[in-house]
Amino acid sequence: MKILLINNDGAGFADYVEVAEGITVEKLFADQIPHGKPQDYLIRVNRQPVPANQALQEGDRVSLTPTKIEGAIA
Amino acid sequence: MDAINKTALRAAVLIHEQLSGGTRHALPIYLPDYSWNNIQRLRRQIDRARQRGWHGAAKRLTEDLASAMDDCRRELENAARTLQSCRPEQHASSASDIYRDILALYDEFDEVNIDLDEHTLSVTTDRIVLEYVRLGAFEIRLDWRHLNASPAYRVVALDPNPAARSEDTTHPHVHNQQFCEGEGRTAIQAALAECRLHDFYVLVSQLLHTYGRGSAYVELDNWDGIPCTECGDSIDEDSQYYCDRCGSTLCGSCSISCQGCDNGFCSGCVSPCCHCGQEFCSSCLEDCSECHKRFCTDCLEAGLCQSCHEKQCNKEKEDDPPQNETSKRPAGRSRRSRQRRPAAVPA
Repeated sequence: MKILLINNDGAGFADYVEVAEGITVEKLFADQIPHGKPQDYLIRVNRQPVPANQALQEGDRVSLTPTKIEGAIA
Repeated sequence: MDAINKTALRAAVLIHEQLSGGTRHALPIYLPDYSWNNIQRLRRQIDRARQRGWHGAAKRLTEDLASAMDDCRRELENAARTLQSCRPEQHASSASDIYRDILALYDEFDEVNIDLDEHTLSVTTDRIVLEYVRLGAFEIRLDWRHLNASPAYRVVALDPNPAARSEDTTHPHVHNQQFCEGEGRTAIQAALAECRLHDFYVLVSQLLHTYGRGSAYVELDNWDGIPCTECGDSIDEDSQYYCDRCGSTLCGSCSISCQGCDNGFCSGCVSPCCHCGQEFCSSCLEDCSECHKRFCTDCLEAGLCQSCHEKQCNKEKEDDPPQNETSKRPAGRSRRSRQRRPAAVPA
């Protein structure tokens, strides 16, 4: 099935990706950010926080935003 | 609730109209015209040099041509990247997407404010504390007329606790309400380009909650001012003094003026003159050549302090030869010579 994935840890563009039917948020995260920890990210499905074991559905919009992003001097 | 929904809906429509407007699709594309003209010019010069047998010049121009081609290639790559980074047609947010984003902001943030007259959409963060420094809450204020501009938004401190040395710096990474996005720049730009407003505000909020040590306008260690090295009091930027010798930061009370050169020093870099007791830096003190104590130039005479100078004078007096003493006696016979005169002999 196809979902809209927004990975804000990087370029941050939205892309439609093909995923397995019924994949959980936790599994999707592990696939997309294998070296990251879920607790270091804000994970939103359709703009809402969800439990890690929530199963995704066709057309869901998933955003992954790191909680620690450093600013700098201009 | 309905009022809020209507306002959010109206804002979503206006934002979508802004996105759909002509300026949204007017992408600035910079082609390397100058570099290409330069390449052609160099090529002509190389041909001319070879025809005339100027092989050295041709070789040098060939190197210039290679460099010009590198420049041209880089500029083309940048132009291609710019084009690829703008993909609004593929994931352009619809008015309903924008509306849902705005509604989601009410769940994400303490306060959301839509000003249709000013064309702004603002959210208020919670009170931010970084490394025990209370920075207060911030308003992330987006002007949707400037979605493509840089900067498109401002970060306004609502209860400012600015850095002691710069009252325009209200956050380590915010100066004059401008936020330096650092690691989040690309993602923020992508979110704005695709008008994913919920992502945009969440990203900026996360940046505000993160401290990038070593890349701040003012480091948090110095937020309340730089401590005086001597007394520990906080000093703001306009009141800082520095020791001219060791560079340590001083407050006005702890900075000591050398009485010789008038420069400022810390207490560790000045010493008192052993005679007058005034403070001098090491450059304005000299050793007495006799006792080797330190004196200011006013208290030395011919390299000697007053005490040593007096001792030397006394010593010189003691070393004077005896004739020097006789010549000092008053003229005429001495009493002894008068006493030794023989008595007159009777006839």
